[in-house]
Amino acid sequence: MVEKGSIRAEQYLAPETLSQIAPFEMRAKMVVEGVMNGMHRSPYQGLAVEFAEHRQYVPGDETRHLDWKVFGRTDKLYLKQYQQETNLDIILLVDASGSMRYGSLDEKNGWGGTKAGESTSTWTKYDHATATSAALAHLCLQQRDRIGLATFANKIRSQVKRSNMREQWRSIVQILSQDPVDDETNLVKVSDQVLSSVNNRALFFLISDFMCDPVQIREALARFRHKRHDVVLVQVLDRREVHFDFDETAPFVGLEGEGTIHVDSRSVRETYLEVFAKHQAEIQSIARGFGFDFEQINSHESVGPPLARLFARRIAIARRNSRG
Amino acid sequence: MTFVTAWIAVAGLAAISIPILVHLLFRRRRKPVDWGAMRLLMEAVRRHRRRARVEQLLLLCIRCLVLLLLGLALAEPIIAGLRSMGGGSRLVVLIIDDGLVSGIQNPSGVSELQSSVDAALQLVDGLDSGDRVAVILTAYPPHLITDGPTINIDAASRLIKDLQPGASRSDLNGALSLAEGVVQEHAGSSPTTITLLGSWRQGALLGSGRSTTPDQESLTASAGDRPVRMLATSPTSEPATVIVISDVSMRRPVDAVRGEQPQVRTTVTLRRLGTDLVASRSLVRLDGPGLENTLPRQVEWTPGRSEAVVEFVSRSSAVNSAVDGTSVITAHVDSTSLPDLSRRSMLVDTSNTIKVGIIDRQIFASSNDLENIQSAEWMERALEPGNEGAVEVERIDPASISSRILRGFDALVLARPDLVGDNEWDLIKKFTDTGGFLLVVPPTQVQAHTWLDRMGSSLDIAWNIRVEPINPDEPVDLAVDQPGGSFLSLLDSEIDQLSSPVQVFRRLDVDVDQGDGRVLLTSSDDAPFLIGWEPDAERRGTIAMLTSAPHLEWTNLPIKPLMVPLMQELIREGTSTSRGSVEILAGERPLISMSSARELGGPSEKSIPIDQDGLVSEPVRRNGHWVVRDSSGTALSTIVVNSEITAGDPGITSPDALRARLGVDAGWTLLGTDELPDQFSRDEPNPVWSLFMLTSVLLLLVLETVLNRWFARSRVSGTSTSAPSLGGLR
Repeated sequence: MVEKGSIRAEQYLAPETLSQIAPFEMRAKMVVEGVMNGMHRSPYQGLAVEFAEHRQYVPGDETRHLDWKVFGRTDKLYLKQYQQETNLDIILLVDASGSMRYGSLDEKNGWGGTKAGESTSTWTKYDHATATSAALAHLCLQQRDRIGLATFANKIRSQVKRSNMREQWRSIVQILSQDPVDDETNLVKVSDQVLSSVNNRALFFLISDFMCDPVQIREALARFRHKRHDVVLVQVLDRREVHFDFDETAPFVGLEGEGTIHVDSRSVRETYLEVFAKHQAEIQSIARGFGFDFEQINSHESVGPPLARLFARRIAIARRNSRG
Repeated sequence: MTFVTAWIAVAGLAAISIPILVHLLFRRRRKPVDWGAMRLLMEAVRRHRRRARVEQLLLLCIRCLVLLLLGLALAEPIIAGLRSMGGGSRLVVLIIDDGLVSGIQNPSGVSELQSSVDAALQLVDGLDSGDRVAVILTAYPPHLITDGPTINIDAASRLIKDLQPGASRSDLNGALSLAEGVVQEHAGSSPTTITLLGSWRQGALLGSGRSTTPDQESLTASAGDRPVRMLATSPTSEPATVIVISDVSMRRPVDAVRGEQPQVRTTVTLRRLGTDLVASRSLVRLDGPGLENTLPRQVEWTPGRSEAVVEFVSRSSAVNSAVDGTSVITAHVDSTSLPDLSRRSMLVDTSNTIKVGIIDRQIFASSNDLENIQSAEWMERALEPGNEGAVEVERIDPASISSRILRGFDALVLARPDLVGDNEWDLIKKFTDTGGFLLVVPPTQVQAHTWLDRMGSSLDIAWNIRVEPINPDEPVDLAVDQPGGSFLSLLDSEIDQLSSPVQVFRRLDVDVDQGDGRVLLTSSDDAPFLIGWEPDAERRGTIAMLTSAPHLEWTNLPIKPLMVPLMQELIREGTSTSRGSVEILAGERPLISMSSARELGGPSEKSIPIDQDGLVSEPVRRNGHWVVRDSSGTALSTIVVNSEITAGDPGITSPDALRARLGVDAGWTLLGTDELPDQFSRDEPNPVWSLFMLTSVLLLLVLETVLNRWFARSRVSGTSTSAPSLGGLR
């Protein structure tokens, strides 16, 4: 694990990304519980700025919320109910397992002027996850939402407590600048560790390549769902993982200690793509089953467009929910 | 296998290394790929293996089928060819009978050998390039005319085309032995066939050497346990009659007069061989020096008559044309059926004077008492009865024997061997080795004949003779029936009559069973009276020995009529035999004992060298009159070559008899000459079958290509058709 001496914002956050996601607000698709006044509706109704609805008075209700105007017109007792706006707690869970070290973009620099970690010669998936997280953190802090971070492999490796302070972004990027390790992913264990320290409902960005057993993913998401958290699954993939466009036989070395296998790439390609497609479909199906968002990001491209697409979709859902 | 240009083969081999070097030099070491989605890749590899196994198995089956059908299509012509032989390049050993009887001509004048030659040419034409052929001729001695098995079919054809009937007998067994050797040495893994080509008349099947022909089992063993086909042409069924001169003999007067042309009677014996002896006429003539004016004689052959004798009377004047005192007379009959037997030659002694030296002490006083006349004197009287005889006699004192003195004599009569010392024995030995005739007479003056041991060791003759003579109780007559022959052939008709009055009173005791010479005259108790040793490989001259001295104390021979002709003929025939002029049979290799002999000049221009040991370097295959010459070309002696009469027997052999001759179970297959070439021609390939297979190959190749590309396309270009387009990933 390499500590970075100084982190520059532009190393992981390209200006063009900011311009692409700036118009969007980070809105929780589900109503989340916040402790700070913010842009997001609170599930706790009562003293708040925005009127929500009337309901009939029942003995025991506080009389201070009676709407006397209605009582005067109708001689019936109604209570005023308000929608409380609150802050959104956002927690970035970034996969730092060995598989995230893969990257085929044969450049030190990533998209939009970003730079990869110093220990690698290519722009890895982890670099891209870091860039994505930096963008998300920046957006959240702009909305004065509290944001926290945890990096994980087979367990939580490091984390940053939730905060909406100005220095929070730098703390998050500092943690993310640490290189991933060789361990494999254990989402179930990580989810248990994370959920044990989060009491209020929050929005989790699970940023990973999800190159693990879908059963494990299902079990982990079930735990989040059980705690009534919202989860956005952001899958970071390298283009070659998707296309598998190798033309020769080569030894493939597993980054999580799986060993080496010699593969005739051309002949295995079709089967690999089938397996990959099946895996992807399974993950999406799991996410959809729990009602979570799922977004894929290509490490060879800017993170802006997919994040913008994600936010747009979430806003649309939020509006639909508010009308309903 | 040989390469025409070996360096091209070497260059070709060297060129093989180029692609290997290129491969090695340009072989890239694959850089390992660190891979994140290893779980998916391992799963894909597992699945792919299952699918690839099925695909590759299908492609493997198609490719194997392509190769199989392609191989069958291409191999069809080869298989068809091999169907008749059972293998690859073939070894064909042709044994062509070119023996004497193969020269029998049909009415149109074509020899039977020519039929065999035609069949052989057809057979050879049917061979393929790569096949090897060896041609063996049966005429004694059998020999290979090709340089071992040769792949040069054209050269073999030319050799076969030029074949002429030989003058010697057929030696089928020898030829088969030769073939066995060829098979053993050269068959290797080649399918082998031995083919006998001939008309197989009786004369061609005379046995000699091996008692049985090699059978298929032994030939198969010789060929490394590969089966050997054994084919033979069926014997001819065409009857033939051959008129041959079976003998030419000359009778000259015993009492030839010095300087006169003797009147000689030449008897020519003719025989008709064959079964179809119809009435015909033959004309016989005699050729030879001094016989130019001899008129031809006509022979009337009545039906069934098989022998005729014609006698010519002439005066020989052949001195000028004689070589070492001999000339050649040749009898001809105007039969063309077998040319080599329609003439026969013989050697004739045409020398006028024979010089004889009698080794005994010189006695200047002659005794009138018959009892006291010594052996030498009796010999002188017998050899030189008058002053004008053809024999000149001179006394040689034993003490004066020298090589210079002996060189002037044609014959020696050793009357006092007891007086001859070791050195003189060596000189006498040298005299006989160089062609002199020696007659040994027991001395009457000694009781113990110790000289016998010295004679035996000096002259290399082996007779067990006791030192002390024996005196039979009663005088022993000479036998009525004498062996005769050889030196005494001229006396054959009278020898019995002449010898009967002769009695033996004393003689040397000879062990008949242990000698190596021939008994020429014998007494009635079977004791040898005259022994002769003819020339052999070691000695050119002739030796004879009387076991009883021509002395009246030993025998009454000196006063009997036999004495003069016996001594005359002994000396004449002995010297003639010793001269080196000989008669041999065609195919033999005579041993020339004259050390200066260098070559044998034949009827044609070709001459045969004579090696240092006196052996003619190759067999004398042509009949006629050959002359031994020294290095300057001077004629030294004459060799007359005739054919063996029995070898010309035109009798028909039945197929069963031929099978029996070749061996009933030997594995020979008899075929007609017209059937033989079919046994060697390759079967023509079936074009329809080959076309079908080639078409199938093409279709399978197309199928393989399509499947291969389909499998490959689904593997390689899968991204363009089925790569996930999830999340905008491109």
